[in-house]
Amino acid sequence: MKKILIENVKKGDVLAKDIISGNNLTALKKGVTLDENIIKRIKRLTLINSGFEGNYIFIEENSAGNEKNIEKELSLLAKRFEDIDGDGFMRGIKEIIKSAILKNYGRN
Amino acid sequence: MNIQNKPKRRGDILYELVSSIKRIKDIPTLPKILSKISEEMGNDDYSIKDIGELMSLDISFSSRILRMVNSPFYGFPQRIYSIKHAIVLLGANVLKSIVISTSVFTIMKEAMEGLWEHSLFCAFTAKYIAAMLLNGSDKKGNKMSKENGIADADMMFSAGLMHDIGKVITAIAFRDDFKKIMIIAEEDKRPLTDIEHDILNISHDQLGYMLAKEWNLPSSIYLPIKYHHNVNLASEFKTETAILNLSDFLTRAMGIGYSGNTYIEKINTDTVNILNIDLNFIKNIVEEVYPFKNELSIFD
Repeated sequence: MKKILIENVKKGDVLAKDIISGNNLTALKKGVTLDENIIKRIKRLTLINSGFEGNYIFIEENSAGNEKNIEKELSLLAKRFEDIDGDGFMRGIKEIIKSAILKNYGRN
Repeated sequence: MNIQNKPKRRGDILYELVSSIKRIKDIPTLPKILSKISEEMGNDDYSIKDIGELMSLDISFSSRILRMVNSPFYGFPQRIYSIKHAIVLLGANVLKSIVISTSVFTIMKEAMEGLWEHSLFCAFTAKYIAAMLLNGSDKKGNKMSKENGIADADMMFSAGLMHDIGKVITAIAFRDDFKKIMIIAEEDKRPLTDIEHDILNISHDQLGYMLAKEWNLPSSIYLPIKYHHNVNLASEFKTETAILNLSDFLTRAMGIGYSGNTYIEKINTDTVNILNIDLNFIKNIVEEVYPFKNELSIFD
């Protein structure tokens, strides 16, 4: 589980804790995979509970949704670089960007 | 409108292109208030107070500026509440380019999906690179300074925001040709500027330069825009041009936004030589700027 800024949640992230609204009702259940609408909803709501601290929420690390997103981003990266993969300097840049993508998903 | 295959001299074609651009209603014209500000700035004795007052007259105008300067992409440590404060911190020319870019924000979004994100991220990266070169050193440990030609970070942000404004013009004025250019670029994996020249006889970098000049932006912004795909041709503002070229390249390499090409080309060797950079320098930039892609949604 990791705590991230609400502004930084992405499609495919999976909630690691319930989100309870101000009137003490469960707004979103643990395990929900976030899509654009849910993210908008989270951003709109003013919530207080254990799953929501200030501007942060808790999401699962290495969730299945993330796996798909990582796979997609890495495949797009490979496509962007496919014509210049023979160049050492360009391969170096590709590796740097690959590391940044993985780090963005909490991988090192 | 298709100007392809017309047997005219290049000068005539350019004149016709610029004239037709000026006739199109949807082309982003400078807000009237900005023309007044430009006039005011043309006087040697202009005051920040007067410009601030002019800018504050238009609420949507002021809120657009404040939203941008308070965004994570500008990165001021404290919140900026007033236009006057923003002018003092940024300078009127930088504010002007922010206003122009945010004015064409909607048109940009409609013209080409992803172009706004590409432009904003390129601006952010350019500013970061300029600051890094100014505060740090190149790979050989040579200290860089404004005196030996390093760029102003805020001015680089402006150049980055505006560098592809020529694409907006093409997308609006020559809608069918623009679609054709996009398709050919994707299928043939050729540089966009080459295809633009084949079809329109002019490319977005030149159009952007003409527009930025028409809008009275300084040469430190319009010349790097003109040469951002031909760094070797820049005789002035070489460092700025190289920074803009590198920022554009890295933004595309990182896959942030869309500017018309899915495939990237080899890094420009003139840029590498002018900035005297290596992979380690690029690693530092990418590691710092990439996480900010998550912040782009604040402008949705």
